[in-house]
Amino acid sequence: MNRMMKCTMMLVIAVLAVSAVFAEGQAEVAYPERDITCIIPFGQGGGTDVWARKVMGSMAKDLKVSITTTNVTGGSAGSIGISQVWNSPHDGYVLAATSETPLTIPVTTPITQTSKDWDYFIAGGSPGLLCVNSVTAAKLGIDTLDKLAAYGNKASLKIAGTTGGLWFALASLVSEKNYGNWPLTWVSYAGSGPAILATVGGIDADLVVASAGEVKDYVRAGQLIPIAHMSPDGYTFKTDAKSIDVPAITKVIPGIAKYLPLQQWLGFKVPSDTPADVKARLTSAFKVAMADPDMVKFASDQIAVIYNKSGVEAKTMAQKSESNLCWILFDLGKTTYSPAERGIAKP
Amino acid sequence: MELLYLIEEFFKIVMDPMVVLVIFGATALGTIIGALPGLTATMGIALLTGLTYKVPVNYTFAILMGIYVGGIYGGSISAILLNIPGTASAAATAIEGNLFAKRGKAALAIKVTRSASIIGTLVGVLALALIAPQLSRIALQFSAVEYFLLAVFGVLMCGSIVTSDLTIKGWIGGLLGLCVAFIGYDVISGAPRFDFGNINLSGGISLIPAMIGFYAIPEVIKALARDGADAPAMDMEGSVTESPEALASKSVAGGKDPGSFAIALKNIPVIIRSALIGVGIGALPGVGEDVAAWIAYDNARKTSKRKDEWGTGECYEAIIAPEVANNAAIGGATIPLLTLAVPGSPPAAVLLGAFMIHNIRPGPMIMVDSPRFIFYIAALILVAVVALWVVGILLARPMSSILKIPSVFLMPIIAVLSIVGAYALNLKRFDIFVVVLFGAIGYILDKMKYSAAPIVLGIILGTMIDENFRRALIVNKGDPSFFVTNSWISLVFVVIIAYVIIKQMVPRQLGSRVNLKNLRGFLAARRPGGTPPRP
Amino acid sequence: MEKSTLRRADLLFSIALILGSLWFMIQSIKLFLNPFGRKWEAVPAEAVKETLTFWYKSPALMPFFVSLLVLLCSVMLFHVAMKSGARLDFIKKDKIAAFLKNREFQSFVVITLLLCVYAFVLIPVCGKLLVRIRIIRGFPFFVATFIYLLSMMLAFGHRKLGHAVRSLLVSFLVSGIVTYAFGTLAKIPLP
Repeated sequence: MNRMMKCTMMLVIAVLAVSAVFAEGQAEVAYPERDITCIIPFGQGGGTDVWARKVMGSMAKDLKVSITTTNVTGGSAGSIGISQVWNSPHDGYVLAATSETPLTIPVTTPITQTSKDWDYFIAGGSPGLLCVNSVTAAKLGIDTLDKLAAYGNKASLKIAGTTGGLWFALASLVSEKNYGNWPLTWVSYAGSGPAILATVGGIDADLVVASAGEVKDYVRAGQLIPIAHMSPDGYTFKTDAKSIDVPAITKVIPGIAKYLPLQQWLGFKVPSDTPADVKARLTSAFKVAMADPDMVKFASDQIAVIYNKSGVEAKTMAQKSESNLCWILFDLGKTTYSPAERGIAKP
Repeated sequence: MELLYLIEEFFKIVMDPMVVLVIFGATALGTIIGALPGLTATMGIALLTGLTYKVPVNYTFAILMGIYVGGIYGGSISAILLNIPGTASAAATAIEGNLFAKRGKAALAIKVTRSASIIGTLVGVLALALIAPQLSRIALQFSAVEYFLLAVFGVLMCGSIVTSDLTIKGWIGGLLGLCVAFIGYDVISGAPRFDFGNINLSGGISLIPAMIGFYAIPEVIKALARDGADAPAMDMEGSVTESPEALASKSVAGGKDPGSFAIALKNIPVIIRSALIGVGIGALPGVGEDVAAWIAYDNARKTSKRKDEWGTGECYEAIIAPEVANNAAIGGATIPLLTLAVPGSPPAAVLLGAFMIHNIRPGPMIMVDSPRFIFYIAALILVAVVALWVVGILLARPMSSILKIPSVFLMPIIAVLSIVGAYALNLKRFDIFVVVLFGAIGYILDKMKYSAAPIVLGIILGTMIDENFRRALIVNKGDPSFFVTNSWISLVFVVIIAYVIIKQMVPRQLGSRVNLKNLRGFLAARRPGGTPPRP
Repeated sequence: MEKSTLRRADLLFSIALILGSLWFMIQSIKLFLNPFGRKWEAVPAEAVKETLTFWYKSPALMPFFVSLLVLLCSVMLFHVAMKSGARLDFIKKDKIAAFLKNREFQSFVVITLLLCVYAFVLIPVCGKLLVRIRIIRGFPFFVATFIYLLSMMLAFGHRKLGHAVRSLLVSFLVSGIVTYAFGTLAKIPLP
């Protein structure tokens, strides 16, 4: 053991000494001078993942470096990936892909950074729809919002989703006592994909709140019927063959209007204390990427709205979503910390 | 009709020599990635998805499918050679496969698993091309109850995995694995579980670093701790299974190996059952190649006519079954991926992302929007099967010569690869910590004759059991009676599970009698001429 | 391991497991009552009442059940070990000393320690000190890996010059290949 320890120590010292000499005199050049990493806090194939890869692909062309996208998953609301970005140097070489969900990190984990500590680049998002499985709808006669609102035995209906995020908050606005007070049963899944599937199968769930992009093909196939737009305004769901007018949820539950709009948005963020010139360069690359025709086509395929927001505009949007989401979760008893102690204003 | 489409697409692909070349290269690369301890098929696909972003679409999918098929097969190579499954789905293969290597028959075992992989993949492709819509309809019938029962069925395997000591150690291992799986964020309630305020623990213990720790590090320690670590790994003695008789039979059988397809042909019933298990399990959204391999292994063991051969390093069924199943699960997992846009396994999840980036939206409308796409993907897998056949022949010899490298050189390299692989998957430093910690624990458990297999099985199935049990109760408002009455599928499961439990528990007491039985099997293997070497 | 030694180890491990499962059970009960890990005074009685009504939603349900099964299994293991004559008679000074001198145990300690040094000291330290050198992508990782490989090979190999030279060569080549293949070719971020 001694021999080995000696060997190791000698080698460490020798190599470090040699390389310390080399390390002298490296000048700083304009950003970006090397490859950028984008950390995606959610799994492959999800909305955040697909959008981040698309946006980063376009931005890399303008920045003329390659951007490596990596999924660092786990924790509540993507907290592991986000905290990894925060713990990296704030120099613009590590970006965090994000959706609205990581805004709940300060109330669900010991991490204290809120939207004040980040600068956002919001690319786009897809509208939230309340959908019903077509078999259930036909059987119970609840294929429109009015009929569902009038349906007597709501307690027998099950609504699928992921606990903790945006869709959970929206579904809770409908079902919880203090809000819409429809006594639906909440069934939780690991992601919106499995939740939608459980609704399509029709055994475990009858309703689901999800983004229009994700339910698009099931709507076209006639397996799901969109019955409400989770927003104060109506929405027209266009598919190649037909267009469906989807009424606003506030038509039957007007009381929740003050928590809306609470919409999906996808993009990326960097810590606020990143150097200003770096942020400016990222902003210009982001603008170029959003104007890319390929990006526009991608967004329309996903039935998404392009927001193209950065700077103050994006931060305001993030703060509004943060306040809504965190306070709704807190009211539902799904947080460890209160939004007040993290300095998040009440909506 | 569907078969014609498949053949047409196949020939369209073969007509472009560049694409064929790409598939061959990708399959070879996938095999190597799968075979390297620490690098998994999932990681290979994720890696290439990023690298092929700018490559034309017709090459991209050729590359990704090649990597997928090669990667799942490649995992079995390191499982056989080093007892370190290169990919989670090869853990079941390692149990018996490594015994082959210890008897000097590594090359033969690699050939047999290659044949098994080829057959399995073929069955998977046919299922994908011919009955994808029907299978996805059945998969949609699986509700929380069925998923829960499937997972329970999987966990029950802990009692029947080959162990060299008490059966109860399999159970303890499986239960400890479940406990590890419980750590982290809970999907049902949104609550943090057993993380003690630690941000790393709140993300849970990932399967891959835990598996690398449990398999790779103990092998490194064991090999280096023996005297004469500079000797090639193959000639190392003193392992439990190495008996004089086994060595004698090695020299007999080592002379002329029977053809691997001939061996496969002798095990047709096992192959058919395993392929069906693979396709079926693969087609279930979220249940992947690893579970398929385990269930096929268990099924082959329970139905085997030569039960005394298991655990001797002569049992071909034990390596054929999991390899057929995990490769058949490729076609299976692609079915929900394409028809429901929900991946059937972790590698398929990465594929889904790749599809979306290239503006291809799988889902229920795929048969309407691009009716040929399913056949195109199936044909790509078909070409990859041919590639696997060739690549397998080319790689078998050089791969098995790894055993000739002295362990003093090989083992440190494996340790480095383990660290790199564990980190590269998720970029978490915590995962490196998991490898080291679980490596040390794994070594101690190995010394006390706990097999790593049930622990890994527990980690794989833990979340599935836990979430679906509660989901089923929530859907039915806390009334447990529906576990029997839910559907005919659940009823079948309950009957099978009850049968397995009764068979395992009733005829023998857990402790002493099991010993007796193990002893009997042990003696049978040692009796001179007791078990003639199988061709 | 000999059978009698193995049963002694089983006995010790079963006791550890019994204690461990009891601890896990207590943690599960705590989780049941306070799933979000708030300060105890911040848990409203109403929430506890709801937990009791909807017991089947609790994240603690399966952990409690599994810890119960672990307890059952470890008691059985204890029983089997006792029946085959194992006692806690080996906790004596000389036995422990002999165990610590065992070559295999020493190798275990050395390998684990070296791995820890590599993962938690060498990689981060090299990363901090050498980050500015960009001969190839992941140069700090290359240096750390080279040092680790070399010390492992020297520690467990022959004490001959030929072996030392070979080790030097092999570790240099391998760390170079790994660094290049992962860092540059595949663009995987290295630790």
